[in-house]
Amino acid sequence: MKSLYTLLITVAFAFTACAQTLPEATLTIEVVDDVGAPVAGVEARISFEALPGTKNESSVGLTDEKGRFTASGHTTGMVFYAARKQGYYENVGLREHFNKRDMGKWRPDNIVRPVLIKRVIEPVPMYVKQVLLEIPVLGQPIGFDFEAGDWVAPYGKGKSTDLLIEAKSRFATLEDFDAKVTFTFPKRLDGIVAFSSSQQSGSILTSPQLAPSDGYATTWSRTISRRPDAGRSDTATDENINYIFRVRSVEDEKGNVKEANYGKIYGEISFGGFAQAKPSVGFWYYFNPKVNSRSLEFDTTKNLFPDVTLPKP
Amino acid sequence: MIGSTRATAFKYQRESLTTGFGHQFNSAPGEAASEWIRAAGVELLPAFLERIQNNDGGVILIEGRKTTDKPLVLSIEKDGNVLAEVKLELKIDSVERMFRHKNLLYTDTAGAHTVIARPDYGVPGASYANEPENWPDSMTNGKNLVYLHGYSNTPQQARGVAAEIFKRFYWSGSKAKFYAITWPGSETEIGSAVTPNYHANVMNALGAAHDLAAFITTLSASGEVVTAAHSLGNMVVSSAIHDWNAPVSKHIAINAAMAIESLDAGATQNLPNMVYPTWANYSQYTWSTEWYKLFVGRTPVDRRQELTWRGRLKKALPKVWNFYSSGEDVLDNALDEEPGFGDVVVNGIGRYAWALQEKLKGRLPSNYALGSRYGGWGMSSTWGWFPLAINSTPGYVFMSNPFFDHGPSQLAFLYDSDSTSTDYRVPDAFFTANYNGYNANRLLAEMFPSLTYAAGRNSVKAIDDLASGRQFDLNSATFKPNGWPDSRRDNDFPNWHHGDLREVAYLYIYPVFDKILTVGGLKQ
Repeated sequence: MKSLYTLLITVAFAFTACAQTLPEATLTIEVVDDVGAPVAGVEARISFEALPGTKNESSVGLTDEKGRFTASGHTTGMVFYAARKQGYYENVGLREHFNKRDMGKWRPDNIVRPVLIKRVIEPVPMYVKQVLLEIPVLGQPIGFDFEAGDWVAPYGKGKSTDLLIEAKSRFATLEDFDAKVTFTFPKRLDGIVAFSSSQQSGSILTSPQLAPSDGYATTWSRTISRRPDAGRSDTATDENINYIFRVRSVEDEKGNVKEANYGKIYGEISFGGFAQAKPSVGFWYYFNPKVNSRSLEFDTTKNLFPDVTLPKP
Repeated sequence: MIGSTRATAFKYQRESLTTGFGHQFNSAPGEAASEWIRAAGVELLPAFLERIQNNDGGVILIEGRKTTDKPLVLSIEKDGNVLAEVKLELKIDSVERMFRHKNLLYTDTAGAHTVIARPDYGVPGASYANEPENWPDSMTNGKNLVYLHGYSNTPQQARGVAAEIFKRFYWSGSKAKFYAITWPGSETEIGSAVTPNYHANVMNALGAAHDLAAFITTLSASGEVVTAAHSLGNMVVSSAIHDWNAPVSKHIAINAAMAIESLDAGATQNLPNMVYPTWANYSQYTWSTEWYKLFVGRTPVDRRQELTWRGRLKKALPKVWNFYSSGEDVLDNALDEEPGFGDVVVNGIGRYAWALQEKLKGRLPSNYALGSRYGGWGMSSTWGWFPLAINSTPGYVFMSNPFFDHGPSQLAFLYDSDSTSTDYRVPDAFFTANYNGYNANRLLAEMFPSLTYAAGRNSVKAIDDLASGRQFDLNSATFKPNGWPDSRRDNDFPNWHHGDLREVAYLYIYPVFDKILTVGGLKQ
């Protein structure tokens, strides 16, 4: 019992001592906008993680004309930093993890990290919704309507076939199955393009402000399979994946886009439920109904789907 | 006082309001002045009186400080004379009078616990099982919602957690009978703040599962049982389902402190991040994580094949709805780094703590804090440490002489020189109770690491494969309709951390409770 007390005291002392002597880190953030220009007068915040139960050391200030702000503090090694300014999308949740210390300092000393704040250009009303769609029939392309947020009739209330979703599945056990889902865009200039950007950190506007004018592929697919001896394979591997799509395109006489609607999907397109009779596909999408508006900035107060609250632009 | 009408009085729970509260109805709810209603009463302000005359009523929000069954009296007076009086018969009582409690502390055999001196369950083994007088069963839908707290909750803290969680479910419209479970998850806690020995509480979680299963079995006779648990509480429920066939219809796993591989034996391993780096030079079959494989397929069955987290709780998987957070701190995915003692002290009790306790099995001088001193990623002194020699050693040699640290002499029976023989039997008592002071659960907790991340930080692919719509990222905007509190801006803003189910105000996270009730079918 005595040794237990000794250990208790030692651990408690170690926690206390370390709280007072955590190594110091110095970090500079350099705030730039989406065209790469430094932004002055940005409210910058750098917070140095402390031990649980104690308060982080934090510095808040404005960036200089080079978009820079520097702060130092004692930390466990984790440093959080963020930036915000009126007229820009806030950048939240970035972190720097130091794991080398020397002479009471985290190394490297005064590391410089870029912080992107995107300009607010043209937020627009959109149809924003998270859908989880049970596949009505396997092996057959089924139309989906972004504006209706539903399958096209006779499987739902949709009217416009913005894309076709086809799923195939073979299921023996949870350790032995194959499944594939394919998105096909029925019009030649419609399609989908992927981009990688974390939804958990960085700009709260995960997507760019504008959809690209080209680079769209007319098909997209995801294949998942598993074997008892080989494990699980999945063609979706990027946890920061997102998509931009173009639908309802009309071609001019030269075969270029004359009219189109644009939108985006945040996160990976989910596909599962193989043990069930009907697997499901799910995604969280934004559809801009204004023809030829390539804006991907969602005005979070104007979701055209009533009763759906999603605060992310 | 608020300027709202009856229909909008509770908007403050779900909308970030900036005005409408206080004496002038121009304050935010959190900043509005409140009045202490004493026996002498409080004079209602003219502005409020005007409001109730002209604006479809003002509203007075009442917060109870003490229990009472005295009425609240509204009297109209002029020149000191009471002209009219109306009484609101009300009873202010503890929220604990609205739900039941089940005490599983007595199931702990590893150490004594102090049980909170609440009159109706103040002794070990007792529970508050009576029909709650302030929310009788006739007002419920007859279903049962059983909630378990996580690691490092003293019995008193567990009471607070249960009360807060109950209130949030109630506000979201739960119609289910609510049962708060207290289980021994705070062994070794220091000063109600830090609980260094995680592994002791893993053992307790697995140990408490039997009695939880018995309790759920009894409950199921009266209606469907949905369980919900936070953090390590999920291991209690999962073991109750896997080991003891608890008749749970659905289990809501919230920030589950469980290895993905415990639910899905074939889950993709998170290499190299979950491996102690020095072991990267040695073939995987030499690792403690793979030792169980040497005993698979033997006749008669060699139960040493059970000494792995892989599939340890897999029967629970079909019941699980997984509410994980990609913004976790405590369950955050391990980095590909070598943790040292400094990390244990500096980081180990916070960020990456769960992964560290796995990576530090066998690497610390004591079993007391976070890691352990045997098995795991420790190396046996009976071997030289030359990778070429180790990696060319046939696997069967490791049956009786593993390359990982063998542990104390009491465990010698695991590696008996005869243990390579198919006739060799590890005593059943080791798997069902205790043998030489050890048992299988203890070795899983202290000796055998997981090679996968925590289910409470990541989606479990096998759950998606089984059925869609059963996994939810708490860190997604879906569950943050009003942003994130500014007060947490200094702390990994705006990520959903391990304890945020109760740490963050209902205003910011109410969709989680709505969703749990929806998937659990508990509103109807």
